[in-house]
Amino acid sequence: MLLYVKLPAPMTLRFSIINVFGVGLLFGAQAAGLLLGLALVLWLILWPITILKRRGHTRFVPWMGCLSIALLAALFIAYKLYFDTALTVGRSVEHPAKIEALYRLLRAVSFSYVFVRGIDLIRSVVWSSHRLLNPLSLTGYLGPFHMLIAGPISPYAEHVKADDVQRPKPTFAHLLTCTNTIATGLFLKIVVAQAMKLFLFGVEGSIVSTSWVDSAYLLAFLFCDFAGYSLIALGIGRLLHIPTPINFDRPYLATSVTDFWQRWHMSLGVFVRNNLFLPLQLFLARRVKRRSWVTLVGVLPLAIAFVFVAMWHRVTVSFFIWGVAMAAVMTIEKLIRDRAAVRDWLQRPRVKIALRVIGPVYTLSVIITSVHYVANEIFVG
Amino acid sequence: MNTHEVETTVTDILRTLFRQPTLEARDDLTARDVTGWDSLNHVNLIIQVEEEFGIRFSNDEVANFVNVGELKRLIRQKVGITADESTAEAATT
Repeated sequence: MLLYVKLPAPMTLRFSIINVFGVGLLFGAQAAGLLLGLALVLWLILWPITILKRRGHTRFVPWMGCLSIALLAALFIAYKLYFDTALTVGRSVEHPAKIEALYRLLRAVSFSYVFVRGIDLIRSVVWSSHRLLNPLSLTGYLGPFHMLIAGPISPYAEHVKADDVQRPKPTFAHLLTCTNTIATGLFLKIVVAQAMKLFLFGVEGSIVSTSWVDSAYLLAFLFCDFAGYSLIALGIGRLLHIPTPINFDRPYLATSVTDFWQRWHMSLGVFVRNNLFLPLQLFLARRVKRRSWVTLVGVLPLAIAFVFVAMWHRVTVSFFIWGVAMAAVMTIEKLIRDRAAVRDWLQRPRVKIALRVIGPVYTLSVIITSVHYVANEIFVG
Repeated sequence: MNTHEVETTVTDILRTLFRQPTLEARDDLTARDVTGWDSLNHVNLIIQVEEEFGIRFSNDEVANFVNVGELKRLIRQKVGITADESTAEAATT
Protein backbone atom coordinates (compact mmCIF):
# COMPACT_ATOMS: atom_id res chain seq x y z
CA MET A 1 0.00 0.00 0.00
CA LEU A 2 2.90 2.31 0.88
CA LEU A 3 4.07 2.01 -2.74
CA TYR A 4 0.71 2.76 -4.32
CA VAL A 5 -0.51 5.57 -2.09
CA LYS A 6 0.71 8.99 -3.25
CA LEU A 7 3.20 10.22 -0.66
CA PRO A 8 5.77 13.02 -0.88
CA ALA A 9 8.66 10.56 -0.30
CA PRO A 10 10.37 9.17 -3.41
CA MET A 11 9.72 5.61 -4.57
CA THR A 12 13.19 4.30 -3.65
CA LEU A 13 12.74 5.47 -0.05
CA ARG A 14 9.24 4.03 0.28
CA PHE A 15 10.42 0.70 -1.12
CA SER A 16 13.40 0.71 1.24
CA ILE A 17 11.18 1.11 4.28
CA ILE A 18 9.10 -1.87 3.19
CA ASN A 19 12.28 -3.71 2.29
CA VAL A 20 13.87 -3.37 5.71
CA PHE A 21 10.75 -4.93 7.24
CA GLY A 22 10.70 -7.57 4.50
CA VAL A 23 14.33 -8.54 5.10
CA GLY A 24 13.71 -8.55 8.85
CA LEU A 25 10.72 -10.86 8.46
CA LEU A 26 12.34 -13.22 5.97
CA PHE A 27 15.94 -13.32 7.20
CA GLY A 28 15.81 -11.98 10.74
CA ALA A 29 16.42 -8.68 12.48
CA GLN A 30 20.20 -9.17 12.37
CA ALA A 31 20.16 -9.35 8.59
CA ALA A 32 18.09 -6.17 8.39
CA GLY A 33 20.46 -4.43 10.83
CA LEU A 34 23.47 -5.62 8.84
CA LEU A 35 21.95 -4.34 5.62
CA LEU A 36 21.35 -0.93 7.19
CA GLY A 37 24.91 -0.92 8.52
CA LEU A 38 26.41 -1.83 5.15
CA ALA A 39 24.33 0.84 3.40
CA LEU A 40 25.50 3.42 5.93
CA VAL A 41 29.17 2.43 5.51
CA LEU A 42 28.93 2.65 1.71
CA TRP A 43 27.11 5.96 1.94
CA LEU A 44 29.81 7.34 4.28
CA ILE A 45 32.47 6.27 1.78
CA LEU A 46 30.67 7.70 -1.26
CA TRP A 47 29.23 10.89 0.19
CA PRO A 48 32.61 12.74 0.40
CA ILE A 49 33.30 11.68 -3.19
CA THR A 50 30.05 13.23 -4.40
CA ILE A 51 30.93 16.45 -2.51
CA LEU A 52 34.36 16.55 -4.19
CA LYS A 53 32.77 15.95 -7.60
CA ARG A 54 30.21 18.71 -7.03
CA ARG A 55 32.95 21.18 -6.13
CA GLY A 56 35.00 20.24 -9.17
CA HIS A 57 37.85 18.61 -7.23
CA THR A 58 37.92 15.53 -9.43
CA ARG A 59 41.65 14.75 -9.30
CA PHE A 60 41.48 12.12 -6.58
CA VAL A 61 37.93 10.94 -7.24
CA PRO A 62 38.89 7.92 -9.42
CA TRP A 63 41.47 6.86 -6.84
CA MET A 64 38.93 7.11 -4.06
CA GLY A 65 36.53 5.06 -6.16
CA CYS A 66 39.21 2.40 -6.72
CA LEU A 67 39.90 2.40 -2.98
CA SER A 68 36.21 1.89 -2.21
CA ILE A 69 36.03 -1.05 -4.60
CA ALA A 70 39.29 -2.46 -3.21
CA LEU A 71 37.86 -2.30 0.31
CA LEU A 72 34.72 -4.12 -0.74
CA ALA A 73 36.74 -6.68 -2.72
CA ALA A 74 39.13 -7.22 0.21
CA LEU A 75 36.19 -8.10 2.46
CA PHE A 76 34.88 -10.41 -0.23
CA ILE A 77 38.21 -12.22 -0.75
CA ALA A 78 38.87 -12.43 2.99
CA TYR A 79 35.57 -14.16 3.44
CA LYS A 80 36.21 -16.52 0.56
CA LEU A 81 39.66 -17.47 1.81
CA TYR A 82 39.13 -17.74 5.54
CA PHE A 83 35.48 -18.35 6.24
CA ASP A 84 33.89 -20.16 3.34
CA THR A 85 33.01 -23.64 4.54
CA ALA A 86 33.17 -25.04 1.01
CA LEU A 87 36.92 -24.51 0.98
CA THR A 88 37.31 -27.11 3.66
CA VAL A 89 35.34 -29.87 2.05
CA GLY A 90 34.01 -32.46 4.44
CA ARG A 91 34.16 -30.45 7.64
CA SER A 92 32.46 -27.39 8.91
CA VAL A 93 34.37 -24.39 10.17
CA GLU A 94 33.78 -23.14 13.69
CA HIS A 95 34.14 -19.44 14.08
CA PRO A 96 35.50 -18.04 17.32
CA ALA A 97 32.87 -15.92 19.04
CA LYS A 98 34.98 -12.77 18.73
CA ILE A 99 35.00 -12.90 14.94
CA GLU A 100 31.38 -13.94 14.58
CA ALA A 101 30.34 -10.37 13.79
CA LEU A 102 33.06 -10.05 11.16
CA TYR A 103 32.00 -13.40 9.74
CA ARG A 104 28.44 -12.13 9.36
CA LEU A 105 29.62 -8.93 7.67
CA LEU A 106 31.82 -10.87 5.26
CA ARG A 107 29.06 -13.34 4.57
CA ALA A 108 26.94 -10.42 3.46
CA VAL A 109 29.37 -9.37 0.75
CA SER A 110 30.54 -12.72 -0.59
CA PHE A 111 29.09 -14.91 -3.38
CA SER A 112 26.57 -12.29 -2.88
CA TYR A 113 24.40 -10.01 -4.84
CA VAL A 114 24.98 -7.36 -2.20
CA PHE A 115 28.67 -7.37 -3.16
CA VAL A 116 28.08 -6.93 -6.90
CA ARG A 117 25.40 -4.32 -6.30
CA GLY A 118 27.89 -2.49 -4.07
CA ILE A 119 30.39 -2.42 -6.96
CA ASP A 120 27.73 -1.17 -9.39
CA LEU A 121 26.72 1.52 -6.91
CA ILE A 122 30.32 2.72 -6.50
CA ARG A 123 30.94 2.78 -10.26
CA SER A 124 27.67 4.56 -11.00
CA VAL A 125 28.27 7.27 -8.40
CA VAL A 126 32.03 7.73 -8.86
CA TRP A 127 32.56 7.29 -12.60
CA SER A 128 29.08 8.19 -13.86
CA SER A 129 26.88 11.02 -12.83
CA HIS A 130 24.16 9.10 -11.00
CA ARG A 131 23.03 10.65 -7.75
CA LEU A 132 23.75 9.00 -4.41
CA LEU A 133 20.64 7.90 -2.56
CA ASN A 134 20.40 8.42 1.20
CA PRO A 135 21.55 5.51 3.43
CA LEU A 136 18.02 4.23 4.07
CA SER A 137 17.12 4.30 0.38
CA LEU A 138 20.36 2.48 -0.42
CA THR A 139 19.19 -0.57 1.52
CA GLY A 140 16.43 -1.06 -1.06
CA TYR A 141 19.05 -1.22 -3.77
CA LEU A 142 21.76 -3.22 -1.98
CA GLY A 143 19.48 -5.88 -0.53
CA PRO A 144 16.00 -5.93 -2.03
CA PHE A 145 14.20 -8.73 -0.20
CA HIS A 146 12.89 -10.32 -3.40
CA MET A 147 16.35 -10.39 -5.03
CA LEU A 148 18.51 -10.97 -1.97
CA ILE A 149 19.27 -14.69 -2.17
CA ALA A 150 19.92 -15.30 -5.84
CA GLY A 151 19.49 -12.07 -7.73
CA PRO A 152 18.88 -10.92 -10.35
CA ILE A 153 21.18 -7.90 -10.25
CA SER A 154 19.43 -4.70 -11.07
CA PRO A 155 21.72 -1.88 -12.30
CA TYR A 156 21.92 1.08 -9.90
CA ALA A 157 21.11 3.49 -12.75
CA GLU A 158 17.81 1.68 -13.34
CA HIS A 159 16.96 1.57 -9.63
CA VAL A 160 17.43 5.33 -9.25
CA LYS A 161 15.17 5.93 -12.26
CA ALA A 162 12.25 4.43 -10.29
CA ASP A 163 11.92 7.84 -8.58
CA ASP A 164 11.34 9.61 -11.90
CA VAL A 165 8.98 7.16 -13.55
CA GLN A 166 5.28 7.91 -13.36
CA ARG A 167 3.70 4.72 -12.05
CA PRO A 168 0.58 3.57 -13.88
CA LYS A 169 -2.56 3.05 -11.85
CA PRO A 170 -2.85 -0.53 -10.58
CA THR A 171 -5.07 -2.60 -12.84
CA PHE A 172 -6.46 -6.09 -12.54
CA ALA A 173 -4.66 -7.12 -15.76
CA HIS A 174 -1.32 -5.99 -14.32
CA LEU A 175 -2.00 -7.84 -11.08
CA LEU A 176 -2.92 -10.97 -13.04
CA THR A 177 0.25 -10.81 -15.20
CA CYS A 178 2.48 -10.40 -12.14
CA THR A 179 0.69 -13.20 -10.28
CA ASN A 180 1.10 -15.45 -13.32
CA THR A 181 4.87 -14.75 -13.41
CA ILE A 182 5.19 -15.47 -9.68
CA ALA A 183 3.09 -18.66 -9.96
CA THR A 184 5.17 -19.92 -12.91
CA GLY A 185 8.32 -19.26 -10.91
CA LEU A 186 6.95 -21.03 -7.85
CA PHE A 187 5.96 -24.04 -9.97
CA LEU A 188 9.41 -24.26 -11.56
CA LYS A 189 11.28 -23.82 -8.29
CA ILE A 190 9.13 -25.66 -5.77
CA VAL A 191 7.44 -28.35 -7.86
CA VAL A 192 9.75 -29.15 -10.79
CA ALA A 193 13.17 -28.41 -9.29
CA GLN A 194 12.38 -29.99 -5.92
CA ALA A 195 10.92 -33.09 -7.60
CA MET A 196 14.11 -33.41 -9.64
CA LYS A 197 16.21 -33.00 -6.52
CA LEU A 198 14.21 -35.60 -4.62
CA PHE A 199 14.39 -38.06 -7.51
CA LEU A 200 18.16 -37.91 -7.93
CA PHE A 201 19.56 -36.95 -4.56
CA GLY A 202 16.87 -38.12 -2.12
CA VAL A 203 15.30 -36.31 0.81
CA GLU A 204 18.47 -35.81 2.84
CA GLY A 205 21.05 -36.34 0.11
CA SER A 206 23.51 -33.65 -0.86
CA ILE A 207 23.94 -32.56 -4.46
CA VAL A 208 26.88 -34.44 -5.96
CA SER A 209 27.90 -35.29 -9.49
CA THR A 210 29.68 -38.56 -10.18
CA SER A 211 29.07 -38.83 -13.91
CA TRP A 212 28.32 -36.73 -16.97
CA VAL A 213 24.68 -37.86 -16.76
CA ASP A 214 24.54 -36.49 -13.20
CA SER A 215 25.97 -33.20 -14.43
CA ALA A 216 23.41 -32.97 -17.25
CA TYR A 217 20.67 -33.61 -14.72
CA LEU A 218 22.22 -31.08 -12.36
CA LEU A 219 22.20 -28.43 -15.09
CA ALA A 220 18.48 -29.05 -15.72
CA PHE A 221 17.81 -28.86 -11.97
CA LEU A 222 19.84 -25.65 -11.70
CA PHE A 223 17.90 -24.09 -14.54
CA CYS A 224 14.49 -24.90 -13.03
CA ASP A 225 15.57 -23.78 -9.56
CA PHE A 226 17.35 -20.59 -10.58
CA ALA A 227 15.03 -19.54 -13.41
CA GLY A 228 12.06 -20.26 -11.11
CA TYR A 229 13.54 -18.06 -8.40
CA SER A 230 14.27 -15.31 -10.94
CA LEU A 231 10.67 -15.42 -12.19
CA ILE A 232 9.34 -15.06 -8.63
CA ALA A 233 11.62 -12.04 -8.14
CA LEU A 234 10.56 -10.59 -11.50
CA GLY A 235 6.86 -10.93 -10.66
CA ILE A 236 7.29 -9.30 -7.24
CA GLY A 237 9.46 -6.54 -8.74
CA ARG A 238 6.86 -5.75 -11.41
CA LEU A 239 4.10 -5.81 -8.84
CA LEU A 240 5.97 -3.27 -6.70
CA HIS A 241 7.25 -1.28 -9.73
CA ILE A 242 10.83 -1.85 -8.62
CA PRO A 243 13.25 -2.44 -11.53
CA THR A 244 13.90 -6.19 -11.63
CA PRO A 245 15.66 -7.52 -14.74
CA ILE A 246 14.82 -10.65 -16.73
CA ASN A 247 17.46 -13.26 -15.90
CA PHE A 248 16.96 -16.15 -18.35
CA ASP A 249 16.11 -16.31 -22.03
CA ARG A 250 15.71 -20.00 -23.02
CA PRO A 251 19.42 -20.86 -22.57
CA TYR A 252 18.84 -24.45 -23.76
CA LEU A 253 18.30 -23.03 -27.28
CA ALA A 254 21.73 -21.34 -27.36
CA THR A 255 23.70 -22.18 -30.50
CA SER A 256 27.11 -21.43 -28.98
CA VAL A 257 28.74 -21.02 -25.57
CA THR A 258 28.88 -17.26 -26.23
CA ASP A 259 25.14 -17.30 -26.94
CA PHE A 260 24.53 -19.40 -23.81
CA TRP A 261 26.12 -16.82 -21.52
CA GLN A 262 23.94 -14.12 -23.09
CA ARG A 263 20.86 -16.14 -22.10
CA TRP A 264 21.84 -17.59 -18.69
CA HIS A 265 21.94 -15.35 -15.60
CA MET A 266 21.70 -12.35 -17.92
CA SER A 267 21.77 -9.76 -15.15
CA LEU A 268 25.20 -10.97 -13.97
CA GLY A 269 26.32 -10.82 -17.61
CA VAL A 270 25.17 -7.21 -17.88
CA PHE A 271 26.86 -6.37 -14.57
CA VAL A 272 30.20 -7.88 -15.68
CA ARG A 273 29.91 -6.28 -19.11
CA ASN A 274 29.24 -2.78 -17.75
CA ASN A 275 31.59 -2.85 -14.76
CA LEU A 276 34.52 -4.92 -15.93
CA PHE A 277 34.58 -6.05 -19.53
CA LEU A 278 33.69 -2.84 -21.40
CA PRO A 279 35.75 -0.39 -19.28
CA LEU A 280 38.78 -2.69 -19.52
CA GLN A 281 38.36 -3.37 -23.21
CA LEU A 282 37.89 0.32 -24.01
CA PHE A 283 40.94 1.21 -21.93
CA LEU A 284 43.10 -1.30 -23.80
CA ALA A 285 41.61 -0.71 -27.26
CA ARG A 286 42.22 3.06 -27.08
CA ARG A 287 45.89 2.39 -26.40
CA VAL A 288 46.40 -0.01 -29.30
CA LYS A 289 47.89 1.59 -32.38
CA ARG A 290 47.00 -1.11 -34.90
CA ARG A 291 43.30 -1.44 -35.52
CA SER A 292 43.61 -5.18 -36.22
CA TRP A 293 44.89 -5.67 -32.67
CA VAL A 294 41.74 -4.26 -31.07
CA THR A 295 39.99 -7.64 -31.23
CA LEU A 296 43.12 -9.39 -30.00
CA VAL A 297 43.42 -7.24 -26.88
CA GLY A 298 39.73 -7.87 -26.23
CA VAL A 299 40.56 -11.45 -25.28
CA LEU A 300 42.24 -10.32 -22.04
CA PRO A 301 39.16 -8.51 -20.63
CA LEU A 302 37.09 -11.52 -21.65
CA ALA A 303 39.37 -13.81 -19.66
CA ILE A 304 39.39 -11.42 -16.68
CA ALA A 305 35.58 -11.15 -16.79
CA PHE A 306 35.11 -14.91 -16.74
CA VAL A 307 37.74 -15.44 -14.05
CA PHE A 308 35.86 -12.85 -11.98
CA VAL A 309 32.57 -14.70 -12.50
CA ALA A 310 34.28 -17.97 -11.56
CA MET A 311 35.95 -16.54 -8.45
CA TRP A 312 32.70 -14.90 -7.43
CA HIS A 313 31.36 -18.41 -7.01
CA ARG A 314 34.45 -19.88 -5.33
CA VAL A 315 38.07 -18.80 -4.92
CA THR A 316 39.68 -22.10 -5.97
CA VAL A 317 42.11 -23.26 -8.63
CA SER A 318 39.36 -25.28 -10.34
CA PHE A 319 37.14 -22.23 -10.69
CA PHE A 320 40.07 -20.17 -11.95
CA ILE A 321 40.72 -22.80 -14.65
CA TRP A 322 36.97 -22.87 -15.40
CA GLY A 323 36.99 -19.11 -16.04
CA VAL A 324 40.05 -19.24 -18.30
CA ALA A 325 38.63 -22.23 -20.20
CA MET A 326 35.31 -20.47 -20.82
CA ALA A 327 37.13 -17.41 -22.16
CA ALA A 328 39.26 -19.66 -24.39
CA VAL A 329 36.20 -21.45 -25.80
CA MET A 330 34.50 -18.13 -26.52
CA THR A 331 37.62 -16.75 -28.20
CA ILE A 332 37.82 -19.81 -30.46
CA GLU A 333 34.12 -19.44 -31.27
CA LYS A 334 34.71 -15.79 -32.18
CA LEU A 335 37.60 -16.65 -34.50
CA ILE A 336 35.50 -19.31 -36.25
CA ARG A 337 32.49 -17.00 -36.47
CA ASP A 338 34.57 -14.19 -37.96
CA ARG A 339 36.14 -16.54 -40.49
CA ALA A 340 32.70 -17.89 -41.42
CA ALA A 341 31.37 -14.34 -41.80
CA VAL A 342 34.20 -13.42 -44.18
CA ARG A 343 33.32 -16.38 -46.40
CA ASP A 344 29.61 -15.66 -46.06
CA TRP A 345 28.91 -19.15 -44.70
CA LEU A 346 26.54 -17.95 -41.97
CA GLN A 347 24.02 -16.67 -44.52
CA ARG A 348 23.65 -20.03 -46.26
CA PRO A 349 20.33 -21.75 -45.45
CA ARG A 350 21.93 -25.16 -44.83
CA VAL A 351 24.46 -23.70 -42.42
CA LYS A 352 21.68 -21.86 -40.60
CA ILE A 353 19.66 -25.08 -40.20
CA ALA A 354 22.75 -27.05 -39.15
CA LEU A 355 23.60 -24.39 -36.55
CA ARG A 356 20.10 -24.57 -35.09
CA VAL A 357 20.35 -28.35 -34.73
CA ILE A 358 24.01 -28.94 -33.90
CA GLY A 359 24.54 -25.65 -32.04
CA PRO A 360 22.48 -26.49 -28.91
CA VAL A 361 23.97 -30.03 -28.77
CA TYR A 362 27.51 -28.65 -28.91
CA THR A 363 26.71 -25.86 -26.42
CA LEU A 364 25.08 -28.13 -23.87
CA SER A 365 27.95 -30.63 -24.19
CA VAL A 366 30.49 -27.92 -23.33
CA ILE A 367 28.37 -26.51 -20.49
CA ILE A 368 27.66 -29.96 -19.01
CA THR A 369 31.39 -30.75 -19.13
CA SER A 370 32.15 -27.49 -17.36
CA VAL A 371 29.45 -28.19 -14.74
CA HIS A 372 30.93 -31.65 -14.20
CA TYR A 373 34.34 -30.09 -13.58
CA VAL A 374 33.20 -27.73 -10.80
CA ALA A 375 29.92 -29.24 -9.55
CA ASN A 376 31.34 -30.99 -6.52
CA GLU A 377 33.08 -27.82 -5.35
CA ILE A 378 30.09 -25.55 -5.55
CA PHE A 379 27.45 -27.75 -3.99
CA VAL A 380 29.42 -29.28 -1.13
CA GLY A 381 29.37 -27.27 2.06
CA MET B 1 29.81 18.17 -40.37
CA ASN B 2 26.07 17.69 -40.90
CA THR B 3 23.50 14.99 -40.22
CA HIS B 4 23.89 13.49 -43.71
CA GLU B 5 27.65 13.08 -43.23
CA VAL B 6 27.05 11.40 -39.89
CA GLU B 7 24.61 8.99 -41.57
CA THR B 8 26.96 8.05 -44.43
CA THR B 9 30.03 7.72 -42.24
CA VAL B 10 28.25 5.46 -39.74
CA THR B 11 26.88 3.36 -42.62
CA ASP B 12 30.37 3.01 -44.12
CA ILE B 13 31.87 1.99 -40.78
CA LEU B 14 29.15 -0.61 -40.16
CA ARG B 15 29.44 -2.05 -43.67
CA THR B 16 33.23 -2.34 -43.51
CA LEU B 17 33.40 -3.66 -39.95
CA PHE B 18 30.72 -6.31 -40.37
CA ARG B 19 31.66 -7.03 -43.98
CA GLN B 20 28.12 -6.48 -45.23
CA PRO B 21 28.24 -4.11 -48.24
CA THR B 22 24.46 -3.72 -48.39
CA LEU B 23 23.87 -3.11 -44.68
CA GLU B 24 21.54 -0.16 -44.03
CA ALA B 25 22.27 1.83 -40.86
CA ARG B 26 18.60 2.12 -39.88
CA ASP B 27 17.88 3.86 -36.59
CA ASP B 28 16.26 0.74 -35.13
CA LEU B 29 19.17 -1.54 -36.11
CA THR B 30 20.56 -3.39 -33.06
CA ALA B 31 23.43 -5.79 -32.39
CA ARG B 32 20.99 -8.71 -32.60
CA ASP B 33 20.18 -7.84 -36.23
CA VAL B 34 23.78 -7.89 -37.47
CA THR B 35 25.84 -11.06 -37.76
CA GLY B 36 29.17 -10.60 -36.02
CA TRP B 37 28.10 -7.67 -33.81
CA ASP B 38 29.33 -9.18 -30.55
CA SER B 39 30.78 -7.45 -27.50
CA LEU B 40 34.31 -7.51 -28.96
CA ASN B 41 33.18 -5.94 -32.25
CA HIS B 42 31.02 -3.49 -30.29
CA VAL B 43 34.20 -1.89 -28.94
CA ASN B 44 35.77 -2.09 -32.41
CA LEU B 45 32.82 -0.09 -33.72
CA ILE B 46 33.12 2.49 -30.94
CA ILE B 47 36.85 2.95 -31.49
CA GLN B 48 36.35 3.43 -35.24
CA VAL B 49 33.55 5.95 -34.68
CA GLU B 50 35.68 7.83 -32.13
CA GLU B 51 38.62 8.00 -34.57
CA GLU B 52 36.47 8.99 -37.53
CA PHE B 53 34.61 11.81 -35.77
CA GLY B 54 37.35 12.83 -33.32
CA ILE B 55 35.07 12.31 -30.33
CA ARG B 56 35.12 10.22 -27.18
CA PHE B 57 32.32 8.21 -25.56
CA SER B 58 31.98 7.56 -21.86
CA ASN B 59 31.78 3.97 -20.58
CA ASP B 60 28.10 4.50 -19.78
CA GLU B 61 27.34 5.70 -23.29
CA VAL B 62 29.14 2.70 -24.78
CA ALA B 63 27.32 0.29 -22.50
CA ASN B 64 23.87 1.77 -22.88
CA PHE B 65 23.29 2.69 -26.49
CA VAL B 66 20.54 0.38 -27.64
CA ASN B 67 20.49 0.90 -31.40
CA VAL B 68 22.19 2.69 -34.28
CA GLY B 69 19.76 5.61 -33.96
CA GLU B 70 21.03 6.22 -30.43
CA LEU B 71 24.63 6.01 -31.64
CA LYS B 72 23.94 8.60 -34.34
CA ARG B 73 22.21 10.86 -31.82
CA LEU B 74 25.25 10.67 -29.52
CA ILE B 75 27.59 11.46 -32.43
CA ARG B 76 25.48 14.46 -33.49
CA GLN B 77 25.44 15.68 -29.90
CA LYS B 78 29.22 15.37 -29.57
CA VAL B 79 30.11 16.99 -32.90
CA GLY B 80 27.74 19.85 -32.11
CA ILE B 81 24.80 19.29 -34.44
CA THR B 82 21.75 20.58 -32.61
CA ALA B 83 18.35 18.93 -32.71
CA ASP B 84 17.00 21.97 -34.64
CA GLU B 85 19.65 21.60 -37.34
CA SER B 86 18.86 17.88 -37.68
CA THR B 87 15.15 18.60 -38.04
CA ALA B 88 15.75 21.37 -40.55
CA GLU B 89 17.99 19.13 -42.64
CA ALA B 90 15.47 16.34 -42.54
CA ALA B 91 12.76 18.75 -43.70
CA THR B 92 14.78 20.05 -46.66
CA THR B 93 15.69 16.54 -47.81
